Amino acid sequence: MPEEQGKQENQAVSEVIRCPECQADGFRDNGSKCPTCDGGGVLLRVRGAGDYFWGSDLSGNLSFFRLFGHALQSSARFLSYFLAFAALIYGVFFIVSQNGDFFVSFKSDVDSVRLAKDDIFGALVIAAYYFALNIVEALGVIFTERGVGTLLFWSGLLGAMCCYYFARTADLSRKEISLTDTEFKPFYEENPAKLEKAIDVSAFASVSTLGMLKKALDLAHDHAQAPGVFHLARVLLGDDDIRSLTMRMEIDTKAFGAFLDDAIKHLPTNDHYNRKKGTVMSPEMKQLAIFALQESIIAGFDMIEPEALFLALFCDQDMEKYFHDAKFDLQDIRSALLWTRSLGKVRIGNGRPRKITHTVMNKAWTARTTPELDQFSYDMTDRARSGLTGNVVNRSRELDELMRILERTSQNNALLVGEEGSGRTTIVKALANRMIHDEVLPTLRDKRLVVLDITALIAGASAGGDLELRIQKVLEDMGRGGNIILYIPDIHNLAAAGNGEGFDASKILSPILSQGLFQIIGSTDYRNYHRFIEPRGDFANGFDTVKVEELNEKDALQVLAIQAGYIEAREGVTMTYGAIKKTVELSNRYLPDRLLPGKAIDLLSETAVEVRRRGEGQTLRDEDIMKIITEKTGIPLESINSNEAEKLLNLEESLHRRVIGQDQAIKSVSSAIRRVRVGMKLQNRPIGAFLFIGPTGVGKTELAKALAEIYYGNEEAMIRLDMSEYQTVDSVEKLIGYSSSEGSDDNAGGGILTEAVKRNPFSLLLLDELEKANKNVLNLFLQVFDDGRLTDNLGRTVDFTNAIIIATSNAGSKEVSKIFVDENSDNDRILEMLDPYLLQYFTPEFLNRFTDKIVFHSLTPRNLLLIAQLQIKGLAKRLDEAQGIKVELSDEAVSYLVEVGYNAEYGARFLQRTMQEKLENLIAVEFLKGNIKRGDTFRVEVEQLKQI
Amino acid sequence: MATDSFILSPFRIFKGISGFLSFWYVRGSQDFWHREVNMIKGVGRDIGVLINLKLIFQPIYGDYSLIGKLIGPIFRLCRVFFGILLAIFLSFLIIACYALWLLLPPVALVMFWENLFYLLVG
Repeated sequence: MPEEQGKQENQAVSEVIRCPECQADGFRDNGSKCPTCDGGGVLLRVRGAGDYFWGSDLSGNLSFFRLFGHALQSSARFLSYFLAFAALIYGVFFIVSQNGDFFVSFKSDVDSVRLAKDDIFGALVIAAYYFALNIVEALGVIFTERGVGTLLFWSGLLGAMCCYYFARTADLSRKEISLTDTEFKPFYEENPAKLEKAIDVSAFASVSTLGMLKKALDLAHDHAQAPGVFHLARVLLGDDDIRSLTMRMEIDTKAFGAFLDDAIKHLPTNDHYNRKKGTVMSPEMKQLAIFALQESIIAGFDMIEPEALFLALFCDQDMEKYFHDAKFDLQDIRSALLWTRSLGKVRIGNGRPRKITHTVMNKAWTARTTPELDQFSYDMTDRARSGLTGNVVNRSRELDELMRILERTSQNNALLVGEEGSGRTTIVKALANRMIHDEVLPTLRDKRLVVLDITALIAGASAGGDLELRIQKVLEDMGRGGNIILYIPDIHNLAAAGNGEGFDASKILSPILSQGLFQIIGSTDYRNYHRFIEPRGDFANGFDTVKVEELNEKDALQVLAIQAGYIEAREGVTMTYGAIKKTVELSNRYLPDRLLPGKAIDLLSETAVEVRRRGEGQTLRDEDIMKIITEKTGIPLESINSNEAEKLLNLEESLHRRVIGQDQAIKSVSSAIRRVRVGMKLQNRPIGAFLFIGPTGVGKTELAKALAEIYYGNEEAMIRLDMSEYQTVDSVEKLIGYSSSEGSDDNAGGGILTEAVKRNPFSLLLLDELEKANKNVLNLFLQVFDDGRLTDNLGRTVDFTNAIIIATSNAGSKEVSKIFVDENSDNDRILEMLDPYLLQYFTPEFLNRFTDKIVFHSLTPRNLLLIAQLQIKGLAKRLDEAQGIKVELSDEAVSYLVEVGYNAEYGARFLQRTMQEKLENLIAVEFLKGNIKRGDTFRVEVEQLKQI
Repeated sequence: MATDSFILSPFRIFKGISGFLSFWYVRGSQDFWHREVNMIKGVGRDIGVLINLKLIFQPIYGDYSLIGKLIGPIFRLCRVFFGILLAIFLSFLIIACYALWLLLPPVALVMFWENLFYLLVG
């Protein structure tokens, strides 16, 4: 059956205890068991309640026949069975061939019957009779004949029985890990009862694990050393499954092998273990084996498998360091292991579509057909029977809650509330799987889970009761059917259907829900729940809600691990574990408007298609994922190359091409960008939050635009809010959204700020004239600056961690103007002087949350000259593009404009207005008079400007 | 690599044979019956023998007319009867398979030795 996967991770608190009496050996010098530890030597104490030890040496466990049985379990099993049964089959054919006339008499009998009666059916009956007779005769021959053929037959049969015995006893000699057994409770219960006796974990090791341990002992014996972690790791590297795992994780097995060989070479010899001839486990090995039990429980194995031994290597510091240097931790390897094991379970069905058999009737023969309902629905239980519902990961909480509601005798309708992509339909599929396997209470057994297609229901329904009629017919069918549980996805569409036509579908459904005539499961998202369902009291009260939250990254990784196998097979690419992990990480971070695991699955599929385009048999790595995300978002995720490094180092220069002066401000924001790009940014904060203080027209907004262009690639990647529009108390709701009610405008349920950032999380947020905002609005931004997130009115979290926030303020600008502030002024000293004025508008804790507060100085005539040149250049470019006219100004003309346009209070804006009045008006008039035409170069002199 | 030698001492042979017999007859029987009982239960569940017995007088397909009330019990009884028949047939088959299971080792051994003796001695 499709599996529901995902066990609780064991967070066991364990300690290793070494027996002081025998130095953790387990045996005394005379070879007898140590009485203190009873031969255990090393004990793992879990939560102070359970003691686990390795109690046996390997000699008894690895008898020839047990190993032979193990061989039968491995790939040699087929060969062994084949040999045994080949002898059996040979014997059978030998015997049958001795009875050659069987076929002749059979045919003549059939022909005679057919000729006589022309009765095919009769001929077949005769043929079956003779066939059975001859089988019995052949069987009789086996017992009556004596010879080589019969000897082969009987010896083959005996061989087959022996093979079966060896294989089964190899299985049966081991115990299985069962989490319902008391002996494992300390691993996953918080306050378990103390176990009466210590548990010998060697009984839970599979034969292949025992084989690995034995090989490690032999390797140590060959080097006359005490067996340890390096010997075990070296042996594990030779295992096919482990090699497959390391290959998928892009661990360089050659380098790893060389590291282990080198480590083994430098280990000291040990006469004590050398004398034991490779049969006794050292304390280190025992500790590894005991930790492997812990890993087996976490991984959900039935026994201690070699992969668990591989995970147990992490208990050694040197091994942990090696993997850490290779950028892997224990959790990575656990997830990769889950993935490689699930790869073996992928069944694609050979490309043939699976047939869905429609089952209407229940076993009790009480159901009836539902033709009206069938027109607008499909049967989920039919799909579950055909294996089309897939695997479900870690939704047991929501599923159990759903089933508890449905299995009640009253008030047994459920509403799944969660954002789109959170997995609401997946939970319903899991329910269908349980229903077809009868893993539900009797109230849900033998029923059909039918999914209503609201689009089909509403489509084509004309006004005047058509939709109402359809709904009535569907409900009648359900009542008649008697064995239907109806799932209505996006039930809010039905609730709102008919609105404005004097008809409310929810009013039809409400009495049905309250009377419990049949069961309905609905699904909706938070926004539409508040808009369409909550206001309809009776309808809403008919349901019990089940919240469906987005999967966390860890669970999403498990889902993706399962799906990756299907994507690999479908696209013909090979994936590395790093790619899968990166997919979850980057999709969660950079695609905030969708939920896990859907967005991760889509991203992986898209990248696989892209990789497939490169050719057959390509490998999908994490760089491919980063490339796709960069293309989608414009954020450079690939490693910094030399061109970009140069660009980042010269960021100030790039910004100065648009912003004149203001060196302190440019330096501060450039430093923040460099820190982000190198990966030093705090993950839960915006990229930077800056407060620009200064008089108007000195370049605050211009710097924001320049930064948006350079960092985000587009000047339009800027969300601009004029905070003077948010001076009232209700401004908070404008920003984060109102409590929705039907008929509200588009912003209902979504605020201006939250929706803008949600739609475009990679942008520059410019808050103009921040001091004018209401105090409640300022408090809102406290959370943004601290946590990089904001919760809107519907409870959805909006991510600000990819935004640069720039707030501008004219607070204290008059005082700034009074003090002569230029490029050389000390920013900190000026801020100190401005503090009292800033505190009139902002609280200290608010000011404290800015990455930097920068005072913009008034523009000097020199600055204005450069600005004028910049603006003239811009104007010339626009004119050239628009009219094909080139414009040049003499130096005197430029100086005149700067002289006339200089105003310390209004800054560059005054210059801009002056240039519009003088220069642009002049050009416009001359053009209209016909004095300048397309292709001309218009030279402006100061006298011309003075005349305007 | 085996830690035991390949030499089969009489004790080892005896241990092997007794282990085989214990596995085949004790453990094998337990597994066999456990599996077959579950299979019969599953068949009964799938055919719906008990539930049709329980609802014997309830009309099928929700047909509460006079004819429906008359026909319903008949069809349900047929289903129950078929289910019981199938269970009996399966039971006989299972017993036959179990008999085969029990007889297979001694019969195979005897026939093997007979054929070997025949070939060696004539």
